[in-house]
Amino acid sequence: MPRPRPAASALSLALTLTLLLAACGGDDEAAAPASTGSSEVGASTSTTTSPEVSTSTSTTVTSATALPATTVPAGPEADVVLEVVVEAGSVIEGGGRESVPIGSTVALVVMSDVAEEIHLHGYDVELAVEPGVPAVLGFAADIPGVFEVELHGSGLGLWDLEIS
Amino acid sequence: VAVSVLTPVLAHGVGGRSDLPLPLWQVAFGAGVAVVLSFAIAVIVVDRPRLARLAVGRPLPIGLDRVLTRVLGPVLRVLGLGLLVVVILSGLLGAERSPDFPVATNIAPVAFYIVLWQYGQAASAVFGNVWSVLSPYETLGLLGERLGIVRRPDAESAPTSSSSTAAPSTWPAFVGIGGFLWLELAWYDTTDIRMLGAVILGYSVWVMANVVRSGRSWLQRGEGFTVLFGLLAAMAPFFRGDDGRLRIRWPLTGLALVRVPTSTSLLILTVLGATSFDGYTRTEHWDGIVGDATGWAATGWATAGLLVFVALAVALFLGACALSARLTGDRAVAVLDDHAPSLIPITLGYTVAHYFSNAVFEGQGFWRALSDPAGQGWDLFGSADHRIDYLVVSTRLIAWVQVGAIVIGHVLAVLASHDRALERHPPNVALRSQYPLVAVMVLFTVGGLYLLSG
Repeated sequence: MPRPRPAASALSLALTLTLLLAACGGDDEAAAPASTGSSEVGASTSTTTSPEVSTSTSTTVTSATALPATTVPAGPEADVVLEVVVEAGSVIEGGGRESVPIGSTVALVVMSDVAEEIHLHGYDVELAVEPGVPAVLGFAADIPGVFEVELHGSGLGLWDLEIS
Repeated sequence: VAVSVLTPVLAHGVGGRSDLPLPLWQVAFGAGVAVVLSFAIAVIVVDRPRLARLAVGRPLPIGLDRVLTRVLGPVLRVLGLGLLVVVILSGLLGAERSPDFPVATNIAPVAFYIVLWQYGQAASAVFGNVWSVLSPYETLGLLGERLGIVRRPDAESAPTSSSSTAAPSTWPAFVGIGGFLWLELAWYDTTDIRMLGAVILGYSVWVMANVVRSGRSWLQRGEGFTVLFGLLAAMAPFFRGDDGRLRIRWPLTGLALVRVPTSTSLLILTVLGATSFDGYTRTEHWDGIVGDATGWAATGWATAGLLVFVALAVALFLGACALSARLTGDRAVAVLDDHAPSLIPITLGYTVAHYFSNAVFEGQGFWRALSDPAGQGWDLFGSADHRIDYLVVSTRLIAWVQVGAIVIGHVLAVLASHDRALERHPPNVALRSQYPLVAVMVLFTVGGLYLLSG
């Protein structure tokens, strides 16, 4: 049964490449969303990633935009910027399933009407959100898989990030 | 504001990471192989029953038997009982985590959802009935017999081997496993350690009360993990013969000797439906249904979804059994109980497909939690600050394990089902009686693969 593996592998590789290219093409929609709160964003930009993220970063992030392994660009300079707006316990804008090319830097911009905590599963990083102030969680997408991002207080799911 | 590094939270009972969707070509490839092999088995391979004869196996060397029985057995008994005590105490009295080791979590969730459920199923299918020594309830029952608290099995009520004809009903086991699945897949706060400690303690007290009242043999019909793991162990190459000797045989063949009551048939289908539901909840489709529901509302949705998936699995298989029964003149329920054990390889295939990556990744949390089980800042084995390595297996390997497990499970199920039909009927009748059953197995397999592509 595992006979057709070489052909399958080639096909899979081709598919992965196509997907990657497709994903790269469509992620520049929201480049300036965080500008209103840029000073706050700047404050939260000095995020340090977990040791897990930084150790694996060196092998996967090779693009020119990659910063030193301990810091990750948040806000407009990230490869992928995703926004979500939460009001009265519901996602009213953004969120849902998003494809993220592996190796890219990601900025998750969260606007909430109440104080909350964003938690990115698997990568296991979290960030406090002040009410009415966009919070930016930056990370290097170097672990493949589908990862949930949720608000820790309410348990509300924001995104499923499909990193591949 | 610094990003704080946080403990892995086991959302959905078993982790916030899910597998990438399978590409459609891989789903089609797996489905195609499953269908072609189903026909091949029906037409070419199987002409008379062989499994029961092969299931006799041969004894393991007596030296190995003695070492495993007298040394490894007692060690596993101590570990199993010890772990139960540690998990209950850590859950009821411990902390979620210690500030000294921010990545480590309390041992209760990972022990319950990953080690017991995932490793338990895998170990039973590979090594045989390890639960008979790992189960703290067996060990406590044996201790109780020595102390005169638990009635010793007398000659006529001694647990007979799996070939006995009238299998006693296993409804308490069905309820136990159903409850576990609900907790894992529907309850909104599955990793609440106080809840887990209380549930595991309550379950243990209930099980042991029954053992004290009815003897240790109650476990074989009342304790859910004993029943489920026992079914999986029937597929394993290692088993204990009627004379107590350890023996080895071809994998799968032992299924030919399994006789189950209807309650166990429904237990198998429930596990199948629930595992499918777990896969379904990782799809966008489910996200669209549940929307922003959290807390009790999320529990309500998940309970409904779980019931629908279990009902669907039961309805589909029972329907196929009814069709098959019409062709052979049997009763539908008799066909159900005859052929439900054949579904065990499919169940195992689903379990591997859905939980392989989870077991590899989140399972690392168990070794970490052993160092600081109750979040007290201990570092007993020096592993308390281990971070889960998500790159230890590639997503491509995971995808092939998923497809492989489902297809292999399907092929073994079709083989076992044909074999049983040939035990009951002459070849031409057996073949006809198999059409509806194989059709529904193909449906389960294609459906299982399709869910993995969502």
